[in-house]
Amino acid sequence: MRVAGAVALAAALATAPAAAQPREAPASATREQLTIGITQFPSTFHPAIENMAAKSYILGLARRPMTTYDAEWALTCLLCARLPTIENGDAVPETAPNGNPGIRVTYRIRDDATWGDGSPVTAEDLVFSWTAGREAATGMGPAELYRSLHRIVVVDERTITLHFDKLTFAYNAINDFQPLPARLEKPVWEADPRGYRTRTLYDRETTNPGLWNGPYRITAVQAGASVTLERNEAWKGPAPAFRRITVRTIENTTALEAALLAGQIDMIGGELGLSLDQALALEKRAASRFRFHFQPGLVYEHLDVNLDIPTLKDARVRRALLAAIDRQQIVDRLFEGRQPVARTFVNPLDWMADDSIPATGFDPALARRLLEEAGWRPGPDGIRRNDAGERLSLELMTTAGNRSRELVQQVLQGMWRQAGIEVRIRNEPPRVFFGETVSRRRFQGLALFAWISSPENVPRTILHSSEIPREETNWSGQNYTGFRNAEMDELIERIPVTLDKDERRPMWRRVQEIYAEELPVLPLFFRSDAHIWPRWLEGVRPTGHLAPSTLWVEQWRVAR
Amino acid sequence: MLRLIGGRLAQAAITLALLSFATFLLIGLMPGDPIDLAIAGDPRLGAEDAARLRALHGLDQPLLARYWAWATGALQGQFGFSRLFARPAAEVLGDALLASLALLLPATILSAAIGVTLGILAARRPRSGLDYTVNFIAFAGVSLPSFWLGILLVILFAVTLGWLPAGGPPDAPGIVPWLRHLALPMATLTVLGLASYARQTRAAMMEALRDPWIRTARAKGAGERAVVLRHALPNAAVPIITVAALDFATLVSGALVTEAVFAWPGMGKTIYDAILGNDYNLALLALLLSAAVTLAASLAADIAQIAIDPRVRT
Repeated sequence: MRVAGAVALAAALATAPAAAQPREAPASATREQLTIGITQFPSTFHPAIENMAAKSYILGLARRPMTTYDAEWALTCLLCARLPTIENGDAVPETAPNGNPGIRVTYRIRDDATWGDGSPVTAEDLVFSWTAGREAATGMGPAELYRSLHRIVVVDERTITLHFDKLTFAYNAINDFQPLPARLEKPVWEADPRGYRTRTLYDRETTNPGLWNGPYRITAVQAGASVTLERNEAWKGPAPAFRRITVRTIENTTALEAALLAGQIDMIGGELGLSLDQALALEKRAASRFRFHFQPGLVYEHLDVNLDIPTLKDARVRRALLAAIDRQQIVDRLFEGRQPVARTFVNPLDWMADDSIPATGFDPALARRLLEEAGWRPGPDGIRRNDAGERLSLELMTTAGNRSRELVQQVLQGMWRQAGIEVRIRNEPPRVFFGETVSRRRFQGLALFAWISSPENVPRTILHSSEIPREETNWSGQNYTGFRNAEMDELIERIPVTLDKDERRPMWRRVQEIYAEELPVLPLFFRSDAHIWPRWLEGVRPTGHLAPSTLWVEQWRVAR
Repeated sequence: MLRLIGGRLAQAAITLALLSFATFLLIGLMPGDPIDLAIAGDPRLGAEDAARLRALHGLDQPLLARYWAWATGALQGQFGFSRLFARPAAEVLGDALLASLALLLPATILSAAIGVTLGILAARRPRSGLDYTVNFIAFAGVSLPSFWLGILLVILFAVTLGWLPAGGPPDAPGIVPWLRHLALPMATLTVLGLASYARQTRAAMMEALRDPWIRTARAKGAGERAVVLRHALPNAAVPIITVAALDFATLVSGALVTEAVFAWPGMGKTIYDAILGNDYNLALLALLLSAAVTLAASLAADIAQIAIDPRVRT
């Protein structure tokens, strides 16, 4: 009898739920809900404290920044009524109090911009955000905007003028400037600016509707597991398609894939989803159930060359290293051609990318010739040697545990071996690799990793000679190769302050030429994100840059 | 007995103090800090930002000063904020502990009940078909990697059959969703956990069943059930209690791999994230709690063993 009871209980567990929630089909049953799987959970929901891809992705559903780059990589207004420009008179160059060229830019907040509790988004919300952001104790993330924005003038309830003490071509891009609801957050901040990080309502009362001004508002949080968002009734823009969106965090990508196949999640956000090789394998098995979209983006996989290493100081050796590797074949074989080969650090989707720049392609004969010229001749074991008998042997490092990179690393090693170059692989966990080895320039040869940037990103931190990390400057700067080039320095300083795009174009061309000639970095490819959507979902437009696709969630539609 | 408890508690206090210092030191001496990693992932963070954030998080202070600040706060019951979760460390840990207990407590009870039962059955009929079967199950339980078994169960029951969810806690309240979401991770942990109980019980029971007082009990006409449960099992219980005490400690330290496979936000994953993310407050509190429970479980096991078998006292 007891055994029968146990069997009945087991059967009930297995079948009753199947009847109640068949395969947990969260959206497919009604199409009123959408469940998204991603691999990270945000450490905070505050829009301006710490930068995390998971937070950007989730908050893209629930809030709107003033400006952002869209899917065409053009700067656009989301919360502002129109993009201020010098041409339309909303931006006016002026002299800053420090005597430098500055600019005042006037933004009008959209008339229909409203917080979830029905109160309007006002100039006061931006003033509070600025006041809190420029206070060091508050602990906001990147503070460059707060540093250069020296004064704000409130014109009316919805209009503000921002005075910047520098004038760059990106004068109207305030993507990092997050309006914060002053009514709710200001008292918390004023009570204790230093403790604000830990007392903000964004983390203590995350479901407070007054914190959100996007098409959705957060209604439930299961720490480390999921965030539930429901339609924001106060949202006055186009109505989003889904009544509820749940974002589930499943860090293990195998488990994430299983959850997708089991119907527990409807889609995987490519911004934080499966690795490319995993997605390509899944596409072969499940192409009939899901749509796969591979979005090339701004994540630039490359090899930093330590220019302090005597062998690598010779530009001919660096060029030979690049000519000896068939990057197109790597991309074709390992990633089925889904990732564009990089000519330089400039993404082909960026407007200033110039295909006419002579770049080094796969050319084994050129590699051999350059190495001979540099004094490296084949030794008895196939590895080249110089006149002193030293072997042409380099160390190649990357982040241990990153399967794709380790695979690329092995292919590179094989290709270089063909050219008579010995490569010793030595990998480290990411925190050691980035925290010590790369940031203190301790890699003894080549370091394989990725940079992420934004559209028309001026590579000051990675190519300007003042950004070479040194002990005297507490290892600040990201010019890990140790690259010094006076012309490059000058261009990097001139480009930001050149407002005319047509004037910048030749400068960008020269930057790319120097990069391709000097090769302080060996370009590999730009990474692609694998977005996996149900066949009934339309309108998702990945951007390929830091702005997540969720910022345009109101355009997502259920296919008829 | 009181002297024993008092002595062990004093030892535990010293152990915890030393452990907290060693843990703090080890995390602090790991290369790189969270700001280095933040810079690597965010091109907008400059050198000035890095210096400001380091100062804000106290990462620019000497390690010993940071430990002293933490220790004085902890002695007053203030365990600080979790840097990774932007909430009080104790609160984060409370949620993770509840999630771990919901998963591990039933799994531990099930694996103990099934494992001990299988061990007893095998010991009663050594070298029988049943004994070989139990040995095989125990061997498999010890040998199978948890991630492999977990994924296998997910593929079978979630992906192929679609009977159960692949992982994660349920979105909906109620006992049925919880049981459904717990089923697969619990089955994984139970299969893996019962092996040690079955093996220990089998070995201890076989030895106990050979003892002279068992023969005496049988000679006096005691039934087989009474012989096994009343005479042999208490004598075989000492090693089983040791296994149970160790298992009890894992309730608090979590099951990292299983939690990762089933996206279960428990203690194992929390401790792992805290250590890798240099979240001192959270990592220290979690490790100290884990150590305290291990010490307490060990003490409880000693007391239970003395109660069952007074010879242990000597």
